[in-house]
Formats: sequence, structure tokens, C-alpha cells
Amino acid sequence: MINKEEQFKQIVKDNEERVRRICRYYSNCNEDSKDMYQEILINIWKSLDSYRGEAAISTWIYRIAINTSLSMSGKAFKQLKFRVDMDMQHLGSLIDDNGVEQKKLMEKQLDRMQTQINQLTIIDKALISLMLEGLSSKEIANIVGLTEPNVRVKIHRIKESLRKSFGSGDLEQGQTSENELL
Amino acid sequence: MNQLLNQLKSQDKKMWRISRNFRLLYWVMIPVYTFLLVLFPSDDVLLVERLGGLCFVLSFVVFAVLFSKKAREFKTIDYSQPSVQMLESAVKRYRLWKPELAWALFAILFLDAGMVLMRIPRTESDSLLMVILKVQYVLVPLIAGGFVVGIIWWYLKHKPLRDYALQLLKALKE
Repeated sequence: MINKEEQFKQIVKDNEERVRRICRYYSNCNEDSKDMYQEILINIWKSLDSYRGEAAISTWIYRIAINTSLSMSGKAFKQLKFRVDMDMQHLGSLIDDNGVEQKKLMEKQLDRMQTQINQLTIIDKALISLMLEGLSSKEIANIVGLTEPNVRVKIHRIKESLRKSFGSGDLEQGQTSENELL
Repeated sequence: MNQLLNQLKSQDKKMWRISRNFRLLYWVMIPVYTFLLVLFPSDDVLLVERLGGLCFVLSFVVFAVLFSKKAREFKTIDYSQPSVQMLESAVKRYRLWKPELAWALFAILFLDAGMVLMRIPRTESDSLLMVILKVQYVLVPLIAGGFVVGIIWWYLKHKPLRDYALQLLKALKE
């Protein structure tokens, strides 16, 4: 029979990268990211007794991570930044095959994208972070507790709002590529 | 990691100890008070005083159950629920008026009745109405003060959390 401590260590070991990635989405410095990571680990520990294996462990971890970020005070939230790393799986591939100029343009676009995402509400940020993790609408719905169509509508609205923000920018040259990002 | 684990385990231990001590306190105190105030074998203790003692004990039982329920509620905040459910629980947990408050008022009424009944044999010159009024003279400001402090505490500590949870829920559901 595996005890709580061993189970905790195993879960953290298996999901460390996943949790750190979520933390990086919200924190703009290493210290904040570490604090959030620690807070998530504390909540994993606290919730471990109630884990009955009904949901996949990844869903369970995402729920705790998202709920931890939602539980922080309103003031702290406004200061949270959403980071889109250049080497992220879903965005990094956009840079790979192009020349230096194109890379610079992409960096600029990603930077703008990050700024735009930072303007979103914390709920939209949470949904976008799960989407960037490559989760399906069904999985996201399961994590946040909304219906799947509701999640799809919300993500569509977020994308629309980001598209509009990009469209009103002055980087005409990169507009098509920016829209492709979304 | 090991440092964090040690902290978590020590916190769990501390919580368990507090909860155990609290349970122990009221499971010991309730029979002790019942014996001293209600069942104490003495001809000097009048029936009305025993009834007063019973009211005190009942009030103590209600408060003990309420506090223990409250401690359990805060200990079992589940972060692994879907966000909507977690936020709805937070809204419920941090509202001002809860059914438990009705029970607390009930316990206060028992306390009030207990004080009146215990006082009756000691104040032969006063009428029953006078005894009741004298008890209220002390108890009402204390209770009112307690309620005001409670409301201020809720307004400063819990209302912002509730408002924030409501705001997030609205954003999620709209």
C-alpha cells in the first residue's frame, strides 16, 4: 500500500513539467513562478486524500493548478502576467523554417501576442493556458466545470478578440501570419 | 522538495492536533459541566438552577458542534473540483448569513435562559421581569458587540473573497 508521501512524490515527479509550464504562463519572473509552483504543490498535498481516480491524473493536476491561480487574491491577479515562451510547442514551430528577418518579425508578433493575452481577464487567460497545453474543449470543460459548447464559444470569443486587437495594430506586413497564430 | 514535504506534514500534524484537542475539550467539558451544573447531588441546588445549568450545557453543545463543523469545512477545501464548483463553494462559504448563524442564535438563547434561571434564586427581591431585564442589560450589549465585530470581520476578510469568487463565476458563465 503506497503512503501519502510516496504518492505525492510520484505525482509531482510525473507532472513536474506540466505544473511548471502552467506556472510559467502566469508568472513573469522566476520568483513568482516558484511561489505559484509551491502553492500548487501544497494544494496537491491537501487534495490528495480526496483523489479517487475518477478523473485522469492530468485533469486532476490541471484543475488544482487552475483553481490555485483562481484562488489568489484579486489584486495579485491583476499583476499576474501571461507568458508565451518562444520555445513553446505550439508557437515555436512557426519560427523554425524561416530566415533571420522572418524570425525577428515572428518574435515581434509573439511579443505583441503576449501583450494582447495579458489584457485578457483571468478566466480567459486560464482557458487560453489550457488551450496552449493542447487540451481539447471536452478536457477543458471537464477542468473548469462548464459545458463543452460553452467552452468552445468562450475560446472562439477570445480568439476573435485577439484577432481584432491584432487587426487594429500597425504591423500590416505580419498581419496574415499573426492571424494564423490564432 | 523534502523541506516542503516536512512543512506539509508538520502542518497536517498541527491541524490534526488542534482538531483532536478541540474534540477532546468538548467531550470532556460537556459531561463535566453536566455533572457540576445539572446532576450534582446536593439539596442546596434548586431545580430551577439545574434547569439553568442544563441550558448552559445545551448552549455549549451547540457551539461545540458548530465550531467543529466550521473547522472541518475550512480544512476540506477541495482544489481538485471543477473551477465552477470550487467557486460556488467559496461563494457559499463566505456569505454573511448562514444556517449555522440561526443555530448560534439558538445557543445564545439557551445561554440567556440559563443566566436568567441561575439568577432567580439569588435575587429574591427582584421580580422575574426584573431578573430577565438585568440579564439582558449585560447580555444584549455583549451579543450586539459580538455581531458588530463579526460583521466588520466578514466585511473586511470574507466579503472581498466572496465578491471576487462571484466575479469569476460571472465571467466563467457569461
